Amino acid sequence: MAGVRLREVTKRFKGVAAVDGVDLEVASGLFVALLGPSGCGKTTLLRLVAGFESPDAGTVAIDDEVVSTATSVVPPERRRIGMVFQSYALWPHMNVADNVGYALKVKSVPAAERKRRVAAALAAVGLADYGRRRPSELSGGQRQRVALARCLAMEPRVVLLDEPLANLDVHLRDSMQAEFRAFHAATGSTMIYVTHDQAEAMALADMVAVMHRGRVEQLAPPADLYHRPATPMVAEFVGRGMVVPALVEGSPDAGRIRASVLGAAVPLRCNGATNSALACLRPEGLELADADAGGCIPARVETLTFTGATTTVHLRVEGTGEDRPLYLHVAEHVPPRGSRVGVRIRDGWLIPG
Amino acid sequence: MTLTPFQALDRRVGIDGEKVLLAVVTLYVVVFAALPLARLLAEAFLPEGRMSGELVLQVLTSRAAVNATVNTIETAVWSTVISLLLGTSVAILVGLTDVRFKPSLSFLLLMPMLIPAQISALSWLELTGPSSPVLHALGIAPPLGTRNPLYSREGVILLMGIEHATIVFLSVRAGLRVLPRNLVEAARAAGATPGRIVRDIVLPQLRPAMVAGGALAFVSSIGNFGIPALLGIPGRYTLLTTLIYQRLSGFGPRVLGEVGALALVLAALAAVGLAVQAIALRGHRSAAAAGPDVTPFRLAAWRLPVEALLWGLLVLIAILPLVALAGTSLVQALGVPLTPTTATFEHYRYILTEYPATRRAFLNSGSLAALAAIVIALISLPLGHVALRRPSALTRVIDVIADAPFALPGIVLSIACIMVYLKPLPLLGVGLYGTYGIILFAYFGRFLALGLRPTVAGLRQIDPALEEAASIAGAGALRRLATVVLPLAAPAAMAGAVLVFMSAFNELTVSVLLWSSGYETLGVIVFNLYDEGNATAAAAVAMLSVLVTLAIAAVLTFAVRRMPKGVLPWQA
Ligand SMILES: Nc1ncnc2c1ncn2[C@@H]1O[C@H](COP(=O)(O)OP(=O)(O)OP(=O)(O)O)[C@@H](O)[C@H]1O
Ligand SMILES: [Mg+2]
Repeated sequence: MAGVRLREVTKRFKGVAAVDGVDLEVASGLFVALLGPSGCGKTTLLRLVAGFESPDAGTVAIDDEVVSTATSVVPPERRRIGMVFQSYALWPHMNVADNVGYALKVKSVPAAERKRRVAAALAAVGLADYGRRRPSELSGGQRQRVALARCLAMEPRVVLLDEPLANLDVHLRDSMQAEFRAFHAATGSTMIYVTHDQAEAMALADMVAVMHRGRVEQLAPPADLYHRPATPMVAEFVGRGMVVPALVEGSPDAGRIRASVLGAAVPLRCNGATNSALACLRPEGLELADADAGGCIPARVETLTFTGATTTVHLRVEGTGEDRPLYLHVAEHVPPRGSRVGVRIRDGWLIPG
Repeated sequence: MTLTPFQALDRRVGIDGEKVLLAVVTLYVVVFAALPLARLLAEAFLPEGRMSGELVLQVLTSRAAVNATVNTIETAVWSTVISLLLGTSVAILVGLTDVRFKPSLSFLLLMPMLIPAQISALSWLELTGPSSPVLHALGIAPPLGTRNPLYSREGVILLMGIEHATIVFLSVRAGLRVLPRNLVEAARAAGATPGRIVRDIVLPQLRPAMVAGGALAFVSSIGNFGIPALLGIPGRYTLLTTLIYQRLSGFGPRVLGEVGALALVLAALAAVGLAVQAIALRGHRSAAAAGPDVTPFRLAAWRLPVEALLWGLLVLIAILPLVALAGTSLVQALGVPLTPTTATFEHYRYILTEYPATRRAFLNSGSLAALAAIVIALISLPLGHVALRRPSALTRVIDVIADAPFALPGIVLSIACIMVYLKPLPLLGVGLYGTYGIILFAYFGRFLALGLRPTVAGLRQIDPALEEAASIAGAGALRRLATVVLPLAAPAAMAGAVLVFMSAFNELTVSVLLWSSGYETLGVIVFNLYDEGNATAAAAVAMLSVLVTLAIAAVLTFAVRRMPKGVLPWQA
């Protein structure tokens, strides 16, 4: 099984860096999601790995074999990788079986074996009886399954997926996600999965790489990303974290550090870095208290959003000049709009970067 | 393990199929487009060339050349004015009002695309002359012996104006398609009347389209040979194209330097028009994403009169001349009234059985056109593909050069080809001048752009991911082209091939300088028969070739429903 390694990879379009000095190491057999806002360079990064784009600087290696440098690029057809496209990219003039078997035909795999492998791949995605259909006779979900089977039949070293579910409706996405997990479990291949849907990234991947403006901000398991964001961007982008100023008072001790956040003294979780001035708060780490309770941050209720089981309370912190609102979810005893309340920070994270 | 042909090829050429493709298309464009045009320039500007300074100066200051140049410019300017008026007003009436039968009206205006200029000219002469079957039927024919009014400057200008109105119409219609609907709606909401909206909003928005269309009409007029040949030569109104023809057919290749100089003037005039077109279109290409069409203005009580006017006009310019041509081909002799009892197929019998050159011409034009169509379709796929998917400085240069032989007047290419192929080819030792080969090679260059455009339109509609998926599956460039691109772009390439066939089949401008006995084309036969005074036989040949063309167009129009949009110029 193959790993993918990018070293200082930069790709510019008309002078503007779409991918900017990215270092990324994806261990063999890992399922990594590339997550980030639109235009941050996810697709470009994926296409650099595939070999459709050539880097302006840096190197890409698959399986310890350097496949791209600024001066020479191994073409995609010789990389033994698989790719699943957002638009499915099924060849409309071939039937399903021919689509799935194309790579084997290219490799001159004997007809009997080809047939067997095509049948196995189609069976694996639950489309055993669909070999003779044309892609145009399939639903969106079925088409993406065929694309997956096509990938499966190739037995690639690395599988690249560019927002493969973006064209499917919400219900189908869940079942296709299960399909991708099964694919990964069955093949054990290295997978790089581009998405801008964080729920999807968190649900699927072993590791998530958050990208921003052509750079990888953080590569971490989903839980780490949420609880220990490395940068303010990650904190805000993943789970809409609240980034607030923090004044460190003391030195870290057993993963905690004392700090003053919005005037209240709180022990923040930390990873040892102390030169930071920002903390990440989550709604579940906050709780409401009386307006004049001790150790609390005074605030005013700005808006209330009813979401079913809970109500989201948006708060304006008073007296600190801090204008980013805080928010938290409460199930009962919803304070009225405009009322003054206190906010207690039960948990927070000192952003190291 | 046995190798597939693709693997064998991949091995042999050392993996990079893309370089092979690029080399093949570059070679084609160099041989059939760049070489002749470069030769023409070299003859003019290199010291040992045929057109060294003194001769050129002498030719260009001669009275004949100055007159022809002035006439050419004058004709092009006035006919462009007519084309602009006609093409723009029909496009606006069809595009912005609620007149009925829009597709039929558009098709009528687009007829000149299907009928070559020399046949249009012939038809008009048959319509307006003293022996016109149509005028006779109406009882308003002038007495026999009266001079045809179209044998004149005005006749040439009028016919060219009508002929090229199609070009303006297509350009303005394309402009209307991308006219943002809300601009018109905002003006309506502001209380403007339709007339005001057209004047204040629509026409200013359409200006680039009109300028571009007008510039192309101008270029086409500069290079037109069929109309000035049939109308201008008898009318002693000589344009550059007809002057070149008369000199070369009168004196042969020894005046090649002289006609080369004239051809350069022709090319320079056309280049001015092409430059204007390029400037007009700059920045307007990207507005291709058309929104919903503008809601048509209701003509209410005016609808019927406007429709009557449109139909009258279009029937006059597109149908009646062909009726006259058909009539002439059926009369017993010029001037004999045409009735069901006097109608005769004698002229058809004559040209098909007694005049051997006609049968030869059908064979020559048919095979030349078929070969050109097939070869151009085959080269268009890799050429368009390389230019689209692997754009580079080289492919952009190739693109421009590939367009040049079609954009420049056909006569310029013919003269350039004579210069290249007059002497036996080095290495091969055979000369192409005076053979079938020189016409074929000229067609390979001339009609490349015509076949390339629909192919590129088809290629553009192929999702690049389809090819990338084939790459991922391990297919090299040549295999991707053969197994993914070719099957998907084949319908568009076919449409391009048919367009090439239709144009080459009826073409006169190029072959009139390149034909020789035994290698006549249909266009040449029509022209020569008319020139010899055999108008009825000319009409019969013209009718046959029109029928062939219309039949092909009809088949194509039905076949195209299964093809990507935008491959046929006369369609929506
Ligand atoms: N072929 C190209 N030519 C020019 N600019 C490009 C090209 N491809 C991408 N870009 C630019 O590079 C940047 C990154 O693009 P990319 O497609 O990688 O973003 P993305 O993260 O995949 O976004 P999305 O989530 O919208 O798909 C964008 O600013 C984009 O406009
Ligand atoms: Mg993308």
